[in-house]
Amino acid sequence: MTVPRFRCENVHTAAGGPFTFVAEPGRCLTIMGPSGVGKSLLLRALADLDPHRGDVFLGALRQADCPPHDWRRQVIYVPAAAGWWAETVAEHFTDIAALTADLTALGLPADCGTWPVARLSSGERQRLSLLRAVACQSPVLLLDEPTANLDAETALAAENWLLARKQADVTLIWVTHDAAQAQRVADHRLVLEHTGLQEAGHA
Amino acid sequence: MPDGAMHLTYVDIALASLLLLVHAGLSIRFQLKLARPLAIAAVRMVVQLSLLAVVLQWLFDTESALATALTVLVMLGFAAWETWRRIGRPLAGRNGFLVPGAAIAVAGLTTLGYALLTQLSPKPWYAPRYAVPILGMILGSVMNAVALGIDNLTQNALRERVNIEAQLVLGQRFEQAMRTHLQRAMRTALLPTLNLMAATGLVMIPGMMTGQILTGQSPQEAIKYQMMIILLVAGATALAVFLAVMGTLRQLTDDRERLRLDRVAGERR
Repeated sequence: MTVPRFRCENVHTAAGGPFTFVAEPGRCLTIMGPSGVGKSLLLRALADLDPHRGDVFLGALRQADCPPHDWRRQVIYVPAAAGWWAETVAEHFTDIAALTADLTALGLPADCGTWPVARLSSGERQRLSLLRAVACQSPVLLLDEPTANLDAETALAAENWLLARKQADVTLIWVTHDAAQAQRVADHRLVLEHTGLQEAGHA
Repeated sequence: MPDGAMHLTYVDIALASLLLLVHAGLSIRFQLKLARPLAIAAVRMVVQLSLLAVVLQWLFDTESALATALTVLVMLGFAAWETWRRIGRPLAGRNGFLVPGAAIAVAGLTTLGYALLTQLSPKPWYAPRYAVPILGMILGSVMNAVALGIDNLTQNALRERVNIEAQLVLGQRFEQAMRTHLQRAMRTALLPTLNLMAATGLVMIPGMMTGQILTGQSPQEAIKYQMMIILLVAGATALAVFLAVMGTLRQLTDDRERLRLDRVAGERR
């Protein structure tokens, strides 16, 4: 069975376009660009969170033809500062007890499910929101500055943990403003401009 | 008029208006700068009620179906307008007015029709002497509840945007992601009516019942009307709140189950 490729064709967001690219399964594609150029808006369009023009495909499946919640279950957007809707950490997971190994890899204690969300630090929030998304086992992850709130050491641990998803043929689309991080994690690097996407190094 | 009823003269009203001096004194003593608005409000009250009396008298005398229908329409229009004005963050554009307006109209007319056709059955059934005051009482309460419900829903959606979208990005349905906010909006809108029913007769004697007693009606008769009115108001409020909140919820999303906060009007200036 071949794993479907993720394709973005002539997408226009509120910040510009057309944006066209292909992301291969089991690979990490990084998108860089100055702040305000619309990196988050592009990821939001890919997850169909904002109205946009153009088509997005997962294999033969077209975004516009797929029920929206089904699409978002397969193409999960992880914002830099994700929201929480219940009191404790565990309520945001199907079964956090089954994720002990991942918690350890991210430097979090196994009992953090009982923690009230209100007392989480921004770094804890970010790692738990990554884990919450990864636990859904979607074929595509849209990561918006996934280590922005982490110290250097924790960021490296989180990077490696995220890159391990590639073994399960997950497609990683990774927005970062950190060139060194892009160097470390990318199989393919793009630069976002208002008028389109460029290959990094060719711009 | 039943025996024992007092007849108010204009001198009596002038005497009552002396109480406004307390208001004026307070305004002067603390420099509230309310003297002008106070005078205007008092004059408005007198003029508006006098005009109302003339209009109602004419309406009751003619008993025309067309005039009654027009009056009802005007009342519904004003109710929708006043409700829109009370919502801190209404829907943008026409929907800000149309959604609460339609909810109020459907709930008000349904309840009024039910009351006129079953409990009251005046002849003709649309007799303005019954239809107009009852609709007025219903709208007074419904407007408040609908404004509370819509405002609560839009303000919560704006404030909780990140948390709502956190559920959407994980593949949750929009209705599920909005569930607690929907419940909160409906509860906020319905609670005043529940509190009113619970407190009526203990803390306060409703204005309508007071009026009937003052004009010589026996308390036993007055409470029957009061009960009917409160129950009508409660029913109309529930129906209107349901329609208004669900209608607003629908406008907050689209066919792709996105959270469309761009459809909420900006802060009022």
